[in-house]
Amino acid sequence: MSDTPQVEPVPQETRTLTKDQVVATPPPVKRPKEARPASLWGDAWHDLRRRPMFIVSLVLIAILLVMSFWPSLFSSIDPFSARTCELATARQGPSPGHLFGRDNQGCDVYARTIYGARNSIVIGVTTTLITAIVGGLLGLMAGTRGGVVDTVTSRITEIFFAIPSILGALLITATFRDQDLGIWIVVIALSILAWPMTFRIMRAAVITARSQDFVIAARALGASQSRIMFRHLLPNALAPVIVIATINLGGFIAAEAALSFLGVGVQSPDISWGLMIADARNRFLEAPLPLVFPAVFLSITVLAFIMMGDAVRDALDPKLR
Amino acid sequence: MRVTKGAQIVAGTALLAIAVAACGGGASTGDSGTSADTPVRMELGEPQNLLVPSNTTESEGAEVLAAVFEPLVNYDENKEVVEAAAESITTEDNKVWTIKLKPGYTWHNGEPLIAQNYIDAWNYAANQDNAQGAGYFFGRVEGHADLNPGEGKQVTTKEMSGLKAVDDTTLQVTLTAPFSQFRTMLGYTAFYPLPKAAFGADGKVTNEYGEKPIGQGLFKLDKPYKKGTDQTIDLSIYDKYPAKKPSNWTKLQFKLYNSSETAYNDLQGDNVDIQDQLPASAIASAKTALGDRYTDQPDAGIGYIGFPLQYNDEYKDIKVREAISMAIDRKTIAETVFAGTRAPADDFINPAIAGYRQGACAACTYDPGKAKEQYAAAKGPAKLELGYNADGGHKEWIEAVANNLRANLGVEVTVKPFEKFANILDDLDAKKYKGMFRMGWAIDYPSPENYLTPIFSTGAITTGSNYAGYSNKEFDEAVAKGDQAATPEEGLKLYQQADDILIKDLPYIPVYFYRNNSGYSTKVKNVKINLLNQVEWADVEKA
Amino acid sequence: MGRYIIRRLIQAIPVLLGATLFIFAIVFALPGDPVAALAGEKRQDPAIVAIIRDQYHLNDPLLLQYWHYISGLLFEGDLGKTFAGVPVSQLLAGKLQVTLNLALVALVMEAVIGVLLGLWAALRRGRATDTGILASTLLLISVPTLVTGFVLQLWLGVWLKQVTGTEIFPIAGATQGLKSYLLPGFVLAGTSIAYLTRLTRTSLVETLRSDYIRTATAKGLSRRRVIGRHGLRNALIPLVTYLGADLGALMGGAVITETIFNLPGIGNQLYQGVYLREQPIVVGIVTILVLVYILANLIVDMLYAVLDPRIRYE
Repeated sequence: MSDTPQVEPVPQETRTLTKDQVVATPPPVKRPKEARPASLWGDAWHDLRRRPMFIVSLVLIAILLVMSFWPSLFSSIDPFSARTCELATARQGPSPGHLFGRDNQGCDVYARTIYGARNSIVIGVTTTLITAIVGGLLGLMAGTRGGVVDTVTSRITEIFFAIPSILGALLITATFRDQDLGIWIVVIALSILAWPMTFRIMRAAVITARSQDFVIAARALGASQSRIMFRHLLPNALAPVIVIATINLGGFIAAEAALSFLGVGVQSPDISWGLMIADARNRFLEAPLPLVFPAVFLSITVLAFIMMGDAVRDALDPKLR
Repeated sequence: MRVTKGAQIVAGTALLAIAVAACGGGASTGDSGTSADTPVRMELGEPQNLLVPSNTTESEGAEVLAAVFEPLVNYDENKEVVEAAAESITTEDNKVWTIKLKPGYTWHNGEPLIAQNYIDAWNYAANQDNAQGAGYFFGRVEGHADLNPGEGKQVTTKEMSGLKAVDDTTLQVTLTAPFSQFRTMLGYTAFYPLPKAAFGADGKVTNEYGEKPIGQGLFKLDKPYKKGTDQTIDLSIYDKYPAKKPSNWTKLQFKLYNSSETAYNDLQGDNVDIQDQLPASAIASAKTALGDRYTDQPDAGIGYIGFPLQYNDEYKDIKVREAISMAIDRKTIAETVFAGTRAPADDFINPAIAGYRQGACAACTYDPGKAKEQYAAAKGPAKLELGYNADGGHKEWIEAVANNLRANLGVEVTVKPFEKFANILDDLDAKKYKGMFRMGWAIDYPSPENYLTPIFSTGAITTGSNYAGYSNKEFDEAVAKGDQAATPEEGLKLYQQADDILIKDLPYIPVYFYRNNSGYSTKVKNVKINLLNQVEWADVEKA
Repeated sequence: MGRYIIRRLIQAIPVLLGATLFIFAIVFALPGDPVAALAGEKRQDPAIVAIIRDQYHLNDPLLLQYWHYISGLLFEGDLGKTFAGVPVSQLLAGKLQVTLNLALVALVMEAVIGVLLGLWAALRRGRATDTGILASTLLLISVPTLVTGFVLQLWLGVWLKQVTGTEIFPIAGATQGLKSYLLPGFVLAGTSIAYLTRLTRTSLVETLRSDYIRTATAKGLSRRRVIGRHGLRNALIPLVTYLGADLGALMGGAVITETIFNLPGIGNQLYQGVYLREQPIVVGIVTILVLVYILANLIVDMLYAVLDPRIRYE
């Protein structure tokens, strides 16, 4: 690898690095293996299975998924039932039956924390899917076609990059507030702002792949534009997109919490960790626990997804080892 | 309505609860000498507008203006009206009022204060072309309609026919109908006079004036206040002020904070001297940390839950509204959610004002058993909706009420946040929103009448704040009788009769009364906060 | 070089216009009438609403309103006025200072801590120190600002004060100079510190593998000199890019930190602007942030040329 030039006039895209691009480094290079002919994917999977970080994150995510879809397995208290809240007991510390104590409304913090997992997971996963598909397809198109299509879409993404994402999301959610979209408001806002990231990664990867011999060969053989796009370019540019997607997932979950904290994300009676943090904040110094528990769960969830993203990145991108 | 910080009925004018608690600004900390030159420092939120009396309807700007201007009347400790800049205010029929000015007052630029200054200011305030927020205060003055022909119509005159300067020190005001409480109204910011210097060539109050208002009161501004940039507003005593001055200090400084938590920290460190509303999270600690420097007194605001009576028949049955009212545990809410910065409401008139009767509202007593029974018997709706504006820190108590209703009535309750109170109003006007809604009221002038006419009279459905659309002839008549009463005592009695009708009909459910919780540093003493939530500066002494 | 700068600035125009128009349109579409909301819980007199709406061109169609705004901005440098009649530029000046202070404190912490940790990890590559540093960066990336903010506020602000009796880290407000920015600065920098650590490590490891380093070592230069003179200098390039681009991100992302620590910066102001639908405030802040983003990127590219003589811009 040391024969590649260290410094070259950096193309516009990589010069304006974003956080996630730093993590998701340039497109993967296939590693020649002597023993057996293995695909990048097979290699990666082989590698992943032996990484403790990956196993740990997988277990955590599995638990979180179960928690999202069958929260009643974890908590005998249904936080949506009013009878479980007693205002007079507000901010009481942990007691048998109420392991995490009670919040400002006298509701059980443990039950609410457990039931809060679902919105985080649902918002994180759907936003990731939408941005990966939309950003990925547009990036594939821009990268393959080049020319005007590329210039226009690239300029548009620049606009989105220039808008600070939390502020943009704040505005978008406030705009759709009256539409009764529930948690989907958050998905929409985050997707609108985050697709350009995937777009750029995909586009850069496609442009690199485009000039490789096998693509040139395919073109020379008369393969159609769409065949080149989906048969040749896409598979070769997919890895970095998958890496960025797994890493972003954790980021989306954190962003949901931030928006809910600011009062524009998930709304009561829906439960969200960000919302719980916001509700507990006024009396935080008197009673920190109702804030600390959802915060810990939020952190663990984000950590689990980022750890997985990290492991996947390492596996798909051997250069960094 | 007037929005007060004490009352925190903030709505769209202020910010989110988070933002209120969030963005502490603040100034460099003052030094700690005790000479007459070091200022007395008071915590203040950022005034919403430039400092023009007729456009100031919120508490922070009003606090500054109260230091700069001398009102016509003041309110003493017994909630009685006493003359200040006025020598006397007399009437024979409650319709034509004669105000004689006290001699000796001059503007900070040296000009004498004359009756015409009041007429200029009031005509300016009432003219719709000037879009002044406090213009509605003059609605009872004859000729107000001429200055307010309505949307898109041309204003043809510049004066209200009801205002007349008999001579330089006598002002005559004619109202459209008798109103016994007119004298009480005159202490408010909107009724301050304006000097000639306030107006520019186009007849409008200039921006320069709004940044450095010239008043006729105890303090004058040292320099223009640049909103957004300046973190303090500095004032010093006006030497020619003819009434009582503070005994041992001459300078006053308002320090701007956006977070009352930050201000409270500064108060404990003696970095600010007076904080007129402590945050709920600080109340528990303030009682011990401040000792007798902590005060707790009634504040004139009320919080309600309202019903769209006009178009949703589900709430038409009084029994249903009573049951809902009885299902609300006001005491626990006041103690737990508000940490004692609110008190359970038991009347439509607030205890800060003459006319309040303790326990007047029987259905305001918590009785879950009776509530459930009565609700079931009256076949109340199985689903309830409770709307609130998300920008005023109302979420927590609304959620608590919702929990009460769910548990005690066995119904499904959804809580609906609206961005701003204006959005609730829009939906109510469009007959779109069918649920209950929160509503708050802080008084415009300290009279029991102010809790009645603007919120519940039939006339207020279109022009006032009668968002429930409640209309009861009997009530309207009782209030009208009070307006025409010969003596204040008689008026009070008649207003209480009207109050009784409200208690019987329960168009809104009173939930809590506001309380004023203030604190001051070790460097000052004898701090008194009056009925308008303003500090009586002449009484304050340095310790 | 000069021509390159001009070309970049011209390229920035559509970005600036696009971003402001996007924000302008969103604020335009926000539900509710900002003028009616000015009266709080009182019903605003429709005649007064009409007059104020007229004054602020609120009855015009979107594009015309945008034209009023952008022409004022471009030709007169005027950011407009708030509904209270205060110039937005005046309103924002003080707040911008607070946010800039916060972002700069964060940037300095990020640069110092990030580079040192990264350097350390790279030099101990593959050993326990390296693994430990990498693991802690993972943690720092994962814990949202929302959480670090409150936790540090509680530990370093409140508990430390209780234990030591003095206020080492003020927990709220910007009234105590640099001191008030330390804790929020760290919270804001948190994720960036982690990224920069990783970036430094990666970049240095790559550089140390390259031929010229091998040559330098072969020449018999001391390890310190090899790393300092040849390694670090070249490894610095991506770091500078990252730091430059991050200034804009830090300023734009400060809203949560400002909220937690009661700092009166533009993040908070924007938040309020959204709620009050004060179009000039919201668009003004976004315009400033977009400009910061564009300029920071431009400066970064200029720095490239300084750091690496092989890069030339025409």
